[in-house]
Amino acid sequence: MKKQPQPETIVHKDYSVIIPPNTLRDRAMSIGGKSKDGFDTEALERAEQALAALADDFSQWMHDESAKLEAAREVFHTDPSNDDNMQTLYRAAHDIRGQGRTFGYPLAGELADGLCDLLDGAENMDEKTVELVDAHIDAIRAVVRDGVRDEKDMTARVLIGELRSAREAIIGVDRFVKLTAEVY
Amino acid sequence: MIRVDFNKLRFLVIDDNAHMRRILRTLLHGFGAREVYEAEDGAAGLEAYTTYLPDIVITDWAMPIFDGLELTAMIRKPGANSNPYAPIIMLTGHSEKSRVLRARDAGVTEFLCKPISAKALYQRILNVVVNPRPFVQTKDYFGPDRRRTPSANYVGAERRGSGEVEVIEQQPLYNKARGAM
Repeated sequence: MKKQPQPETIVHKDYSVIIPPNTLRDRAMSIGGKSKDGFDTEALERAEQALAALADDFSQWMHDESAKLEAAREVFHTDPSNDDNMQTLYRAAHDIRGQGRTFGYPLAGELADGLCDLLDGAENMDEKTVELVDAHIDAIRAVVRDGVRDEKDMTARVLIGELRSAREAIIGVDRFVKLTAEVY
Repeated sequence: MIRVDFNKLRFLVIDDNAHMRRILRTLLHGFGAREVYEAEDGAAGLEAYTTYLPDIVITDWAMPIFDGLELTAMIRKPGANSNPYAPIIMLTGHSEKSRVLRARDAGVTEFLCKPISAKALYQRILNVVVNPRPFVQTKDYFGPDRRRTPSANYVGAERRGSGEVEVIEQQPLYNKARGAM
């Protein structure tokens, strides 16, 4: 029976360094091809083309996400202080935050990002905060319903600015430092 | 010159959003992967991890039952499963610095912010295959070495506590290959 490769462990006073066996490199990496670092531009192009082929569905998917957000709002309104209700709403907003731009609705993503910050940062769900939550959801729904895809849309930008000011009045300025470039 | 064959790698994608799973599957197949398994929450993800023994895990953070952070902690828990070393790529809408640090401290290997880009995902996968990091175990951490590169300018206290700094370099295979050419 073939012996499984074992990790190598180097024990120090307060910590150990463990070098796992390089099974992935051994199995998947080989010498050859056209790239010095393994970056296969043809594979990347194939993947991008496959993603582009899905794009016809993106608009419908965005409408699905918007409907999911509305359903989560209804649950949230039954008891805004209930943590499960808030988590349901948060996950719906969080999905749009992550997917809005991919689906061609960057403004919906930006608005959802603000909504997540509000839900993350608000100390409690008082009447004023719930109103602001609703205002964010209304804006996201409007952007999706009206097919506003231009990131520079003047009306939307004004609204986003107003929502930001209202949000900062509740959760503070620059409460969440965002990393947008290459991160960890 | 090196080549990474995605068709020799087994992926597990964990995300509660069906659209995102579809996008990830599409990209991974585009890269050349054949084996892509899916799970829709942290609990199903852990079960799939023990069943399918994936080579690389791509997980969301915010999920029902238990989230991507808890899932990472469970995978990394020494003795809890047969492979605590699998690379975990966290793909999430969270981009707050504090969240990135929490994910790092839970033991994720790579962190990737949504919106997803094919190139960024490809680069992360390549990195975990070609440049694997050693693992470190302290009394309160088990996971990939959080020091990606030794800092010559670091003047603070030695946080691992032993006073000695030892960075174990892993020689990438392609460097060895180049040297032999």
